[in-house]
Amino acid sequence: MQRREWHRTALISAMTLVGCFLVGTAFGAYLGSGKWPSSSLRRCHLGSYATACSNAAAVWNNNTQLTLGYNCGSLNFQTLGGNYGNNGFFGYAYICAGPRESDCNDQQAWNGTYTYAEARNNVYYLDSWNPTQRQFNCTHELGHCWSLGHDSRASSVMNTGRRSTIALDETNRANVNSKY
Amino acid sequence: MIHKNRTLLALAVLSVCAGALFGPHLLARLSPALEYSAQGNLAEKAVTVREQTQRADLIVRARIVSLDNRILTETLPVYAEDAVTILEKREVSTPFTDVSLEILETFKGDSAPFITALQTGGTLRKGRLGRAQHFEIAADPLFQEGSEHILFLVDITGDGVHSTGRQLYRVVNPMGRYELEPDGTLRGMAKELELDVAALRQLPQTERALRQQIASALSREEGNGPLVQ
Repeated sequence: MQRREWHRTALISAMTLVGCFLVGTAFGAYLGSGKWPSSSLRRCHLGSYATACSNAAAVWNNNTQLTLGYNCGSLNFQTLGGNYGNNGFFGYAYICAGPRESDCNDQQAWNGTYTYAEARNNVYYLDSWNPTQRQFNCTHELGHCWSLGHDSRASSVMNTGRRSTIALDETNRANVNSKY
Repeated sequence: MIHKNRTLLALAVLSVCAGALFGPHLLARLSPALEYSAQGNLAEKAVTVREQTQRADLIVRARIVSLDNRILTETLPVYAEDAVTILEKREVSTPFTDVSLEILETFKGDSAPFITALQTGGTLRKGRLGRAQHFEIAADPLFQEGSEHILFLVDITGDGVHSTGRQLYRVVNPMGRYELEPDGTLRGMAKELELDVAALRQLPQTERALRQQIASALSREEGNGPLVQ
């Protein structure tokens, strides 16, 4: 009886893993196969929108298996609010992989073990946005830091056109949790 | 003989000291640049040629003459966890590139023979002797000198950050840049942006098709009067 129970648990676990993988690949969810070495990460914020990015980090922290702390002395990733002018980007994020930022090339970094990331928000555009929209932008850029790519689901924070979306949808959560 | 040995010893000690002091900097300087590639959230959503034409102030065929690297440095407050207390201030540098364009043909708007367009990205060096860091947006890679393009540009003169006192443009978004290949085919950025199939179907695959779509969009614009984005 116990053995049967064990088989059932193993089968469900395997199906869940395969399911998460299929969800990820079916939606082209990831920018690469890489990930952070740990699900516990430390953030530091520079510049404008400290509250918006704090709220955005809390959304990922409270709804996924990521544990996001705050420590500017020993950080894994930075959120920033700076004025990059009328450059055509509300924000952008990049990631580095390898020891001592030895490789930040996109071909390798998104597939590697992440060592550092930045989520940048452009004050030039976001200054005219309301706090919810700013939180969306920071939530979106942070999603890239966990290697999530853009998608077109109406409920997704990774959809670039949905400025009022600040909650994660089921797929956002599943995509992150399948890695961490 | 003793004097000569002392001189040699002194030279050896000096060499070791100089190597220890400047070696890492020299190595960093000579090492290949670190490559950073970012995911950008586009401010402009125009995809099709018609949408790009509506949004563009200037549509041109142009050759890339030169690229000038420019660093924007901001001093930003570093916040404590409460998001209110400022711990310190730090300088943050971001590279941009001023792209000089020779205008070969104008489809929309009035253009000088040479204009400058802004691109996000470029090369950053940490310290005077630090290793170079090459940065660009994945879907909007830096232009290559000598390449020829049809570009949908917006006038960003007076943005207060990049263009104070000079005329400056940028592409509407990466979908507004089509590189012209010698065989008449186009290299667009649709693949890098991972557009859906319906949007991809509308995009031109050849220079001839692109010209036809621009002409069609312009005639529609003239017929309907000014279009709102």
